[in-house]
Amino acid sequence: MANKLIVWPVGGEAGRNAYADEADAQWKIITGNPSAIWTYRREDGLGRPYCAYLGPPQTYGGVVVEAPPSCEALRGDGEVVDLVPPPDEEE
Amino acid sequence: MRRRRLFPALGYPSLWTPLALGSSLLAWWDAERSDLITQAGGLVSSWRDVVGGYDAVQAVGGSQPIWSATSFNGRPGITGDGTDDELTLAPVPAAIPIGANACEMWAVVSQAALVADATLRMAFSYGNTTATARNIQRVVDTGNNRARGNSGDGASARSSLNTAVDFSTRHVVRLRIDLTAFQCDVDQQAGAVSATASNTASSRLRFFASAAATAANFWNGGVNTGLLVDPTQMSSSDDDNLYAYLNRRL
Repeated sequence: MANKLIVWPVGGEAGRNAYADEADAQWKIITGNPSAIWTYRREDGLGRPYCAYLGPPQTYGGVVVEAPPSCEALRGDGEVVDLVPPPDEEE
Repeated sequence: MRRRRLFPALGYPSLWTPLALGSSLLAWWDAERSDLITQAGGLVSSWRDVVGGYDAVQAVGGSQPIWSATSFNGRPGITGDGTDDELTLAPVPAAIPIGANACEMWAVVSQAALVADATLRMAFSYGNTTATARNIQRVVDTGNNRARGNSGDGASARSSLNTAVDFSTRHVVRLRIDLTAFQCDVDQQAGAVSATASNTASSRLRFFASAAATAANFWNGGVNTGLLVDPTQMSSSDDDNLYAYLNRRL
């Protein structure tokens, strides 16, 4: 079952980071692991900041993870997508 | 009282496993060894190999693939979401051939991407960028899912396309690399030979994605086995035994 990604327009790193910070915090609660991290923070092939979307169809313990309201409130102009174009290969 | 034969007579076949390859077996990641997999809530953070304890890891929750005791046609398997899941071992262990040195990459995989999805996807990789990596790939070629092996020559990616098999669902893939050429076989059906002197880097080994510094080309489907062998010491019966063993996983 695929995760989704959430991508912001070019220059939208602040929005991406705010969402990712809250998603990391919520993932710690969901997993009961205070060291847990939910997502990488990257740029796609178009230079847009993105991270993993915390919500369906992601599962934990076989149960679908519902999107935390505190994360949804921080989506702003982030768009939930299935894939992003990869960046150019780097060494 | 009838006497039981606890030990069958001569001729009863012993249970062959890849461990019988001895020093030819360089690494073996087995999803059926749950004792070598660390997972919480079904999400895999570590997959350790049988031979050297080489640990392919993922600390980030959203990028952890899922282990299940039954996901691989009723057998254990680890499944990638095709979006961002991957497990990384860095650097490539010293026992694993790099540069132009011969090595075979074997994988038992399930490939779930439909033909309408044209994305290049990689199940098992080591090296760095495609110009300096060895990858087992899935591509769409003339409207069909196909397996393709890559072994870059240092300057560019090079490929061996296998057009013999519809690369959907479960298969045994064998990427055979020697000093001057390589080919990608699927279910013992040969792929095209690529005359290439490989130039493989030692940066990292990865499941479910490319070997580049930033993972990409994420695998949509499962992996039951990833295995590396030194072909220079293997006999034809070793090859047959290994295929037979892995075919039973399908």
